[in-house]
Amino acid sequence: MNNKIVTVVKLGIILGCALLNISTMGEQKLNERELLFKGGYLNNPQDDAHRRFFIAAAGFEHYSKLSNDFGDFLTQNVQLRFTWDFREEPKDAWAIEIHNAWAEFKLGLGKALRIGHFQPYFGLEVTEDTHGALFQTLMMQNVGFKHDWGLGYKTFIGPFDIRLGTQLGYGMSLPKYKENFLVTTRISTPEGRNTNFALSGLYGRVFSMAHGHSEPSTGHGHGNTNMMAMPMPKESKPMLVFDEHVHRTFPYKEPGDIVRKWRVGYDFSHFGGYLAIKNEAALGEDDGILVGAFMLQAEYPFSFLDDLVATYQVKVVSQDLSDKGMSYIPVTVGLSYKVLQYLNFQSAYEVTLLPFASEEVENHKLIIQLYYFGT
Amino acid sequence: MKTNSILIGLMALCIFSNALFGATGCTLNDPDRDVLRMFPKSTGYKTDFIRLKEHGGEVTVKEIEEKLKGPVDPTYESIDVPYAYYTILKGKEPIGRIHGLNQKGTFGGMQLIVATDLNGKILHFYYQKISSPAARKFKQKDFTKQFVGLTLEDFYINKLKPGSEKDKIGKITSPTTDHADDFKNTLRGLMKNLIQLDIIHLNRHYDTVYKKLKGE
Repeated sequence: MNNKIVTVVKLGIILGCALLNISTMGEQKLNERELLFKGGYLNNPQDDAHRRFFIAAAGFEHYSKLSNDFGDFLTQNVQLRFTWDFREEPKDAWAIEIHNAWAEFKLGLGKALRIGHFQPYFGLEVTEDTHGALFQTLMMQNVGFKHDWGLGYKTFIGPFDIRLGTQLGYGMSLPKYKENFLVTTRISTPEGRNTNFALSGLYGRVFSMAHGHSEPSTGHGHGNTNMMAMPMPKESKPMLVFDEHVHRTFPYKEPGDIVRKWRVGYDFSHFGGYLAIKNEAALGEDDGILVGAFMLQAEYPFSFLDDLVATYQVKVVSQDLSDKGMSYIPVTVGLSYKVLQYLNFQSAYEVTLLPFASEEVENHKLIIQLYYFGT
Repeated sequence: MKTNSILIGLMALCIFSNALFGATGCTLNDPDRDVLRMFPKSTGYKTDFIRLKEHGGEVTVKEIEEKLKGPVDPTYESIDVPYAYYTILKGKEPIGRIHGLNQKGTFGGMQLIVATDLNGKILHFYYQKISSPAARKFKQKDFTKQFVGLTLEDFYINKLKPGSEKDKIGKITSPTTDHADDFKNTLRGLMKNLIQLDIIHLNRHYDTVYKKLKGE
């Protein structure tokens, strides 16, 4: 019975997405195709079978605006991706990921109400589009997922942009309620400016995610784990923040236990001249355990070759600030090159340092990605 | 297996259906705030995504290249790039427009945004993004405000009668001597922006001046 329901739902979603492309005459819309090939090598001491990986994905984004005589009043966005993980048996290899699926109603200039599946209003992820990027923000470490169902409101008061969100705290693409919730807020200097500073807070009872096999922390969709050789929390309970099926809608994966969490944090981004700096940090608790995370990223474009950008990122993550052994530090360097208007090549090499680990563990990852986003 | 085949087929329909597709163009990062800043009396705005392929395609590109006296960039300026045009409203009445484009610069793309009145006269100009060691100098208001009040006619004069008494743009100097190429890139981007506005929204109003300056 459940299988039939799931099949009907997934057929409905995909048909709806297909019809969306052909039923929106008269509105202003952008439709983009997406193709992604991502592969790499991990020296994974915990899972020898998954040292090499290759993932292919195809998807699309639909973005549209509806307007009347008084201007725009509704914005819609759907991002959907079909992925194939070549490490897996065919029956387990495929997944459908819904990233964005929201509608935003304009309530006046600067005021809007959003409903649907969108990112929680916490940290740098709110203003950074990491949908096709290898380098990610701390959203996975802080919240455990990048999108959730719910309601969001944004406005601005004087020089400050304010966002308030109330979501399910569930993370998966099908909504489910089990006394879970997530409330987020972000107050910032005007978003979209070259320099942006924000304070964020979140509180909720949030589903943790089940374990998957290891994969890079860099990346998106169908693979956001970073658990290889990572310190495990006390009492061997599942890690709270890494899961490879975070965005996976079908086949359905049941998430783990509910975790009560809160966070406060700041984020800062600055694009000055030709150097971009991104920084965020958060502090809080997961079920009473004090946790924290910090990220600093710099991007530098080279003048001798157009559209070649070097990126350096360091994260410091502690899953228990009272225990030094629960900290790890992923350091990543990468190059990206815009081959054509719609085609981007990205690479990243990551070394995860475990300065307080009881035993020495090598932990390297090399990832390359070819990403097409356009017509 | 059968279900999976259907899913893959439907997914292909999503991706390859014959709908209107295009790459992301230059849109305002913070449109509500930007609109209120440049048009404090506005009550709303209407967004249009417009591609050159819907306005003459390659023929229009050739026309733009002729007016610019140079080629368009295939990376940043292909005919299917959607340009966002914001028509600013006070109630139901249009009071101006905001539009931007990506211009290739020395260190990558620049995003040039102009607000114009309904006749195409520049009311505001700013860089939404500029990758350059001299970015701060380019973004200074002392430099950008020199473009306020100019129209496409001034760019045509600068291109076809440079150094003449009426050449207002010729009197504007680069804010830096070290990265003067980005000054030329800025002029080119602004001119292209105004040519496209003229084609798309002003019914080629400035063609009369252009032909007169060319001696046609």
